[in-house]
Amino acid sequence: MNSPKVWFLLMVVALAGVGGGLYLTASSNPGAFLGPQTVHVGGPIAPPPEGDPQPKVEVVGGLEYDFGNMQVGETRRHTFRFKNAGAGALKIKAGETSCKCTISDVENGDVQPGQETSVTLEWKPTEEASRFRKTAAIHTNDRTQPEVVLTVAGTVLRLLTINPDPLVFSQIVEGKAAEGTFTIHTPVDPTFQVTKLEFTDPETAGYFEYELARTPAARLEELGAVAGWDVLVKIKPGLPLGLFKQRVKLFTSLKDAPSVEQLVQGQVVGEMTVVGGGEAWKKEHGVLMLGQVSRSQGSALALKLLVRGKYKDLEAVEAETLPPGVLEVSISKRENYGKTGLIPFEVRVPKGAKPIVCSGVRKEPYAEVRFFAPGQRDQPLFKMMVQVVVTDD
Amino acid sequence: MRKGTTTERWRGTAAACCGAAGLALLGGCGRVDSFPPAASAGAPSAKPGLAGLSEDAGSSLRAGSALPSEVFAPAAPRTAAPSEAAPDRASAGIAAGSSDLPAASSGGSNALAAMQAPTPAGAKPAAAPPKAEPPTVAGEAGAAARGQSEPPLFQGWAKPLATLVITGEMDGYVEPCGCAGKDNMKGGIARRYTFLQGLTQKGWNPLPVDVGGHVKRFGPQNEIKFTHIADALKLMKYQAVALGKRDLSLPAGDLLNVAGEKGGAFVSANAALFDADSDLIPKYRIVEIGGVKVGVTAVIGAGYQKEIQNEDVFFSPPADALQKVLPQMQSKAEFLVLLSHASPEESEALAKQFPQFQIVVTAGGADEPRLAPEIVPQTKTGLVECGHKGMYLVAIGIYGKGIPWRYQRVPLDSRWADAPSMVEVMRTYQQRLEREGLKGLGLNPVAHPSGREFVGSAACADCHTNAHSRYLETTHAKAWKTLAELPVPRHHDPECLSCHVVGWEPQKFYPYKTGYLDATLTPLLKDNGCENCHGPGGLHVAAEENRDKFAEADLKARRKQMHSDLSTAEQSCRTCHDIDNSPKFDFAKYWEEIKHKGVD
Repeated sequence: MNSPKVWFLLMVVALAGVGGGLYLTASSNPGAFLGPQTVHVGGPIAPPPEGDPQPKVEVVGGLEYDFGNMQVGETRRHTFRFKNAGAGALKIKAGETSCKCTISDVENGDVQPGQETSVTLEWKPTEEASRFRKTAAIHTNDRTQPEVVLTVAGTVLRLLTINPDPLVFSQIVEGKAAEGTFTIHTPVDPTFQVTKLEFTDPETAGYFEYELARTPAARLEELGAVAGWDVLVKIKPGLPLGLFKQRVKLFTSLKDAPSVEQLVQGQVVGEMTVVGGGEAWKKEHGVLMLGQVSRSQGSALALKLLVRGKYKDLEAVEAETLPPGVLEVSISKRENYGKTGLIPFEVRVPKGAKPIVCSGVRKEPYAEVRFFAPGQRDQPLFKMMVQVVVTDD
Repeated sequence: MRKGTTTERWRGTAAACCGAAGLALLGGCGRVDSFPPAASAGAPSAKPGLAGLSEDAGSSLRAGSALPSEVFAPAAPRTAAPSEAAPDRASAGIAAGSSDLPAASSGGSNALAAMQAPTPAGAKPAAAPPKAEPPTVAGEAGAAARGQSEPPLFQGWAKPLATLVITGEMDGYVEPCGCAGKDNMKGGIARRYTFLQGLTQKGWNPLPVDVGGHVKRFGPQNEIKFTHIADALKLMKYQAVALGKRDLSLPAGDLLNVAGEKGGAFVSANAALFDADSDLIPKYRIVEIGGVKVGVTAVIGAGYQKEIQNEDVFFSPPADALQKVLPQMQSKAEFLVLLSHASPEESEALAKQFPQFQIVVTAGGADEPRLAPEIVPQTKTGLVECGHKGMYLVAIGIYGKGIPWRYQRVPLDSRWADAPSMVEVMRTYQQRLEREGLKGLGLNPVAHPSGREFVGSAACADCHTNAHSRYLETTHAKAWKTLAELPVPRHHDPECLSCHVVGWEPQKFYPYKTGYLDATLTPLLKDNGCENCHGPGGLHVAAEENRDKFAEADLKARRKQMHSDLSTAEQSCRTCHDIDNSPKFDFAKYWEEIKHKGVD
């Protein structure tokens, strides 16, 4: 027991036990389950031993810097001053950044007590990402702050911005005109002009017109711009049902952006449309794809008729199916929402339906569901094609 | 055995006690949880996190240094001046995952004293950005002042009663943005769900909410994507989901199918379908979780309303709507959250007007959330940004009345494994795109701006043998295959195809006439071929194959059309090698890997 060796071994065991326990305590905090942790003891740069003079890192002036407004391709730099307010030598080195566009240069990785060094972050936006915030980690051997996170932030300005981009008309009711406005603006040139404008998709260009007006000052201020133009896009009635896309080419007075393209898109819908049905309802084609149905099982699908415009007062509809005996339709009470109504209905292949192929090809035409106002079977309001194959198993 | 002296016996006892204590520590407290826990729904083990990623919470200060002289008319900076910022943070006392905060289990009243509710920003502001000071145990005010180091996630957190998990502005990035190697990227619903499952398993009662911005574009693909995203949110048990400006531009039928579902999680106080008074989308939700009643509502900002042309959606001013719903929420819940799909400026104004909300989540912020919470001046309200493209989420620990909440920014990086059920959502979505085909997705080819037609890279090989051989050695020549061979194949997804085949507009995701349609119809247009950089080669090839019919000047002109100098080349590269898909892109380096010139 008096042997120095025995004492030494006991002390080592004790220290190992305490040290190990401390390590594991540090890492088994309530958050540890949520991912591998950066543990303060034993970080990327080892701190000096406990009994030795310890460094203490301070970042003079704060951890965050705002570059304000920047342009794509422009490089800005900011230097953070790191001071050693401790008694031991401070070591620092660059760690990871949250974006490869941010590079840190560490002037001097070894800082004596009372001395300072600099860490420079460089930011060069390569994309017009609007507001940005990027972080860069600096590893230190300060055991209380093994990692210091620096942040740079700012706004990347585009030479030209269009709001909204694209201009979307969610639905234009068939036969109606529509209007919508987009604004093209710049933070750079107060004399900015739109010199010419063209609709470049020939298929539908004839339906499009525009009016150009200077953007009001209040709106410019909202947008953070010095000059802008409001383009009122007018769509004449007559666009065919379905999706549409038109490209607008704007020619400008800006040397670095002599022309720019804007997309105008949307869809034209009928005054009576079907909603619901998931993948089964192919609205672009007006076909309900029920697929293969076993006559012993049958199937049912709930949808709704959306009625508006000239049908807004239609309280109820009736339906017939062709060919007879394949499909059934039941219709529920209309739900009212202002000038719009939703009439729920269900399309069923009843159990025991006769086998049939309604694939829509060759001699196997689609089945149909026809909707009409009560008592007016000879004037169907809406026709829905149905693809269905009723099988005999 | 000889009995030792007294001293010797003390020594022995002391040593034994040290050793025993050490061993006890080793054995007793050393359960380091790994993630994900084995019980998590089949998720594989997490990969090691990327060292040093600076995404964990820590308080931060704005340096507020003078801005350099501006070329542009400076927009009002979002950042407050240091004298404003400092008191918000210094006095906030809002725990930001600081490693110096004692866990609630130790310290008792000291711990509570350390986590003081924020004092109003009318308190005396600091005259200058505070110097870093030696760390103390005593409180977040000190931590904020001294430039807190980067702690691990949830460092010092006691188990909350509930954890508000905030996401938003995913902008259609269902998987980590881009395809530059998933380990290098952040985001995705699969990682998000793994994180949520981890919280659930540990009894942290996650309460996921979303500020909207689920899709970025219009058209059938986005309608389909919106439906699948809604399915995913349902699986993840989201409790309140707002609608963003692009979401509200979708056809009302799609909005009705998804957001109007009875008992669904979508909310909006000021956007209604078909009629201003319709209740198809609930105005707010009250959720009881962990013994806490949380009220959540959402608004679409007045500024963003102007960008929506949807006659089937009716808007009211956000403030008017909140005036109506707030009293109802206050009577039913003690913790109130506003999902404000508006610019940060507008959201901040709403936060000031309605300080009853403990948390206001805003859209339109920076691409990364803050490291520490921002407290709206003159309020105790936290203004939370969730970043862009779903790369991050923000967790707010709720501890009950009178106890400040805690804030943690969480990067969805590769430390989080992919939850299999979300991978299946992605697979279902891709399979739907395949079934629809380009026609079903409304993608009709448009004329190329040049008026020329595509022919495929094999046509170039006849004369440009060396260049073509060089091309075949590059990854451009395998671009289509990289989509088709993904665990969830993406070779039917227009958003991916646009950069992996010939003859598509790369940033707008539509085909040009004579461009790629599918692998069967247009096999020669697979991969990122010559014409994506050099332009459609139809006229040039036709002329070269019939030289006797073309004047020399005409031949030269057509060759010149196909020529690309380096600066044009770089612009062309960047249409696909953008920040999402190629974050490390360096033209000078990358050019060396594909360099080629001229005719043989």
